[in-house]
Amino acid sequence: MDERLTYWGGVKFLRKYFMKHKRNFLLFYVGWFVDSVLTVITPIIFAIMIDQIVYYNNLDVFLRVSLVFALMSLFSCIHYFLIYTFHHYLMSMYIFDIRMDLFNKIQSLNAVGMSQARTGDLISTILYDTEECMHFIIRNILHSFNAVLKGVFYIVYIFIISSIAGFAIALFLPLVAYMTFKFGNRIRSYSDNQREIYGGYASWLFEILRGLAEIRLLTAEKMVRRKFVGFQRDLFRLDIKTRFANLTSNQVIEGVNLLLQLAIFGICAYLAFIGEMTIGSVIVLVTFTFALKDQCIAYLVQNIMAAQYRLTRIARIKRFMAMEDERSWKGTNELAVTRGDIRFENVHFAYDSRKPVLRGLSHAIPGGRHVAIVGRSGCGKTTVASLLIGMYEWQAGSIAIDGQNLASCDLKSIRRNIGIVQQDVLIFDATIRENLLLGNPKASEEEIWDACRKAGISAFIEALPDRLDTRIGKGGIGLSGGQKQRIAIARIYLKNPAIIVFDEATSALDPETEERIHDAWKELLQGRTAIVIAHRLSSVMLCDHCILIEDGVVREEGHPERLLKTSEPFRKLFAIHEVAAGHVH
Amino acid sequence: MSLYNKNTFGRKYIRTVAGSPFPYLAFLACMVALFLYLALSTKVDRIRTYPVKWVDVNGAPVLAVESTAIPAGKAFLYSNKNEHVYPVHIRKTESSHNGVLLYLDGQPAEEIPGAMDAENLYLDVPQGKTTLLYFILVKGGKGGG
Repeated sequence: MDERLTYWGGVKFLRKYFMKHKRNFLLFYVGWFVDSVLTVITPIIFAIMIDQIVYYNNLDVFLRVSLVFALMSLFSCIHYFLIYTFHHYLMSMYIFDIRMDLFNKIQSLNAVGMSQARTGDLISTILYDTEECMHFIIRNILHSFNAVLKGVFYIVYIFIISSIAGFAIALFLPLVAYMTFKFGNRIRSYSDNQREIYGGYASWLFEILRGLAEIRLLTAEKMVRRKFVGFQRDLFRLDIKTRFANLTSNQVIEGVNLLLQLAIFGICAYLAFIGEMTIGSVIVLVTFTFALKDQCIAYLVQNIMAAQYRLTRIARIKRFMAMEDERSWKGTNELAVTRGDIRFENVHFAYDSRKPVLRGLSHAIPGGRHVAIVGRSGCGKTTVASLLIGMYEWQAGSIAIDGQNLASCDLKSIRRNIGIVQQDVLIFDATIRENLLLGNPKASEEEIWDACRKAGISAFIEALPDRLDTRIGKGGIGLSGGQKQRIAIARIYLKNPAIIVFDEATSALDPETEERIHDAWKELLQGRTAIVIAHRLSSVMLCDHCILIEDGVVREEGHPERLLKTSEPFRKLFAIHEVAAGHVH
Repeated sequence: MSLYNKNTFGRKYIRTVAGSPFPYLAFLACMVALFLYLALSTKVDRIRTYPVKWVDVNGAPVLAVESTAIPAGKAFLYSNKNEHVYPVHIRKTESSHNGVLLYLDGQPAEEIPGAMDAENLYLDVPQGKTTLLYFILVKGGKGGG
């Protein structure tokens, strides 16, 4: 279980955000302080007015005090409006800053972080947890401080008006404070558990919704439903516990407050009866007792309880922000690719230190060569491509491009020089133009069309009513697997990298479409170094060299046609695979 | 259709209020200054309460107070303040061996029902004036009446 975040820990973590808007925070606080003072003195002014008119028929003073009261109320309204302007402004700016930092963090997460982060968790963190950060600062810090201050004012004035009433209140306060903290801790532990389960539930739901079709094909609806019910049941149980604890604590505190009110009413009644207290004083005393209960005690209780829940959420953000990201990559040199030579030298890598994936892999790819990397699933083919684009840091050995050690190169420059085409092509819900410009945001209209022509998708786009401005994705037209691959190829043309990696790009396509895509590849590959990670022989045969990886090292290498004739493991690999896929050549 | 219509007035307002501290501080200064001015310039009677009793002086009821100096002028007589308060006017005061005798205008002892029989009689006497601010901040409204 992670370490719990304390109040001070929360403030320390959020400090940089509110310090950024410290002037407005200060004004906002001054505003709330003035508002608190007005709240305290308003009943007193009212009491003076009443006493003056009821006991002494002093209309002159009554009218003068009324004027003060009316003007104060008017100013108070305007003032309240201004404070809320600050509140909304701060809320927007502050949440924007935290969300921006979270988003930057997500974008800079390293591959390990990306695999650990659950999508549902990330969504709820960005959308909801960020708001709680602001509520923590405003409600749990500023307003709570003001509530305590107001409470002190109220108690002092209650003592001034009636020391007996003051003692009665002083008697009940420690009891309320004790119960608040006792229940607060209990609710916090429920809230932590609830959040944990909810995060897992949201992530699971997200994955399920993405794979609805597959679930139906696997006829796994029953199993999924069972798990859904399980999640609901767990959440329901915890929700009941939390609500019960909330309700119990509220009721107990309400009970104590009721006793306090009764005591105050009794004291007021008695003092008024013996003529020791005026109507004005009774009004002030009752108003202050209610205000002390609602604006101070109840407010603090609710906020202390909510703080437990908020601190849980802030702790999640803090944990997320502390995750390792790509800023830990040491390289800063600009990678300049001329020939496109790639050299792997005794590379060792493991996702889990107990299960090494690459065990001293060495291989040199001369510039312009097209190399296929083959091997059984899990042998480390994709890992080689991931290391090449700096998704992971290898544990030993070196990878160099044109003699420049990748570890000393800046990640952006590495990725600028290497284009990658994967099986799942990222298509945004946007226009074709916007999707293509991901390859090169500065590309001209002419360059876009040229890339589309080379990728073999220009005829399709020209036939669309809005051509490049046609929306694709969920809000627009759908694209086939082949069309998505062509979009990816067009992006690579626009990016124009010296090195291209195809990571099982055509694995999901039918042979006919694959053949057409391969035609598009041929032109793209001219004059560039290419690494083709493939399970299909047809893709491998496009290359002029092939390496077979087994147990984390290069087991066989040579021209694919030569390997087909001489290498038993190579033949076996494709025989098994092609038979399984039904494409025996 | 655009979901967001640019609100020029709203943007200007936010920029004015949140962009610079001066508009808000100016408003606050005006508000505090006005309140202080009104609270300091509004004078409220400072009232002192004395236990009094009726004594017979030359066959007429006169109020006796165990005190040294009570100014002549308006005062408020009551047995229980929350039942009835009678405005009276102190015509003259006279020192006696154990306090001050207060001569009231008219015949309040006869006009006030049960005044002669009341065990505990009190007299609220305005003695000078004080500011509303003092009554609010120091007295918490108590004694303002």
